Amino acid sequence: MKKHLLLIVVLILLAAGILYALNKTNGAPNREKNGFVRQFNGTTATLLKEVNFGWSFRELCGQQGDSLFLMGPDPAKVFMTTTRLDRLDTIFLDIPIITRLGPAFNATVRYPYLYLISSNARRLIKADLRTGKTEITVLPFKGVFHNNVMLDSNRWVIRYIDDQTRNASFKLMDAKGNILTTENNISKPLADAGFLYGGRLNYDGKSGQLIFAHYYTSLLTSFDTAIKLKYEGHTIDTNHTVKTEVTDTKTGVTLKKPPVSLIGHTIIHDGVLYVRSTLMADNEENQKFEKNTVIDKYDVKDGRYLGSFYMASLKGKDVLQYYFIAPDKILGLSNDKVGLFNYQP
Amino acid sequence: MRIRNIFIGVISILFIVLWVYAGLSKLTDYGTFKFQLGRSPYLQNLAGPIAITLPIAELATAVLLIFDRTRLLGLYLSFFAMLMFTGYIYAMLYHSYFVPCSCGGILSQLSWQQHLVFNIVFTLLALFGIVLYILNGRLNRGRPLLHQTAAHMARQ
Repeated sequence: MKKHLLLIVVLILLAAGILYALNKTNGAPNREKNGFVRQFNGTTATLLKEVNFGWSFRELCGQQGDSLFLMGPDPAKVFMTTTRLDRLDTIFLDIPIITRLGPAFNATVRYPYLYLISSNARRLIKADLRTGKTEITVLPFKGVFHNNVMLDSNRWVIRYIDDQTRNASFKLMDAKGNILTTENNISKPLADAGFLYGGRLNYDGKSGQLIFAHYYTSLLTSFDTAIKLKYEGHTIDTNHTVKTEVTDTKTGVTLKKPPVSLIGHTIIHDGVLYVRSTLMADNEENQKFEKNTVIDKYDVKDGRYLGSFYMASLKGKDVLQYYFIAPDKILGLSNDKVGLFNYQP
Repeated sequence: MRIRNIFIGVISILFIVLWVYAGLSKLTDYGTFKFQLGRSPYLQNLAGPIAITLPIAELATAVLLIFDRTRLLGLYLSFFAMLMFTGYIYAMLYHSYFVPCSCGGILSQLSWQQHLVFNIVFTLLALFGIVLYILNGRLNRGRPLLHQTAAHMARQ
């Protein structure tokens, strides 16, 4: 009996040891010296309130006064809470079942309408939040897009992937899916289906500028609504340019090796680009980095680094998305956890 | 003891089905399996050797479970393998910087979280089978697994 118990313990320890060794040697970038330092110059984001509504939210898609509109993975369901996070209501949209619509879509609220766009389903849906009624437009172009931002109810900027060449390019599109403008030499023609230089696209309504923050390199690409390049900047981790590879599969193109994302969620607020970084700086403590989400700030005008701050995790989970709902208030989302932060620049 | 033998039989059959299914699905779609291993942050450097040895080990474990003389060894290997798989999925979910698509077959319909629960259950099943075997204290020699289980159930 003792022999068997000992064998069970040995097997458990052996498995734990192997897994520990694999975990230590996987080269995660937040465990290495990444060759840059962060400046924590007094900006703070203090957690005021944390709630769990029992639903998993993917994004805050808009705000109207005190009302906040949240989306989960179901495109026919919009959640509405308040800036005090004191209740949750559900708005049901009259969206028929459309193949491949969910969960790959984005939503933007320009009250009283919600605009839902999906590359997989090739649909642009305008929904009236007061009645739930919808107007559905089929996007006429071939090819797909990885990113999209709404400039206004008639214009979107998308990062289009040509289905023949597999090159990525930024385009300006109208509400019917007609392409109005195509970029001129902003994106590299790599035939990579947009993977190698994938990222997040943000729009600053005040300056009319868009910034594309790259996931796998330290690039910040800025252009205007006429899709003309303004500048190419870098995040502060310029010494850590990570490359990944793509390959063909039976169903298309995909990443061949696990890509190391240098950044996560990004937003623009009041002329500042806020970038959630996944890289630990050389002057950071491992424990502090692990227990918080670090946000780097950049000036939208020229990409200049402005400093960094931490946002506390929500019950141990990183804040995955964050949005300014007031000049001094940030809403943080982490799946089913919602946090309200007091922001002091 | 009869009840224990029935449980041991059922657990063994479950694992035989699991390992045969897992091993064959990896071998029949070897290219995809190796490719998916290469996209795992933990296994990318070991994709080649694992792609060959893992399905063979799974099928070998299934064979060990069939025969009475080697069943305990099969249960121990099943327990160890499920410990590794469970720990791997936990690490992928909570510590990995990239989570690729999950494995093939029916289990690919499970989310990573569901797969974790599935693996925990089977890890505990394997441990339970080992404990029952130890408590039995003796081996049923020379009788194939299905006959044992059927004979014990007929006596009920």
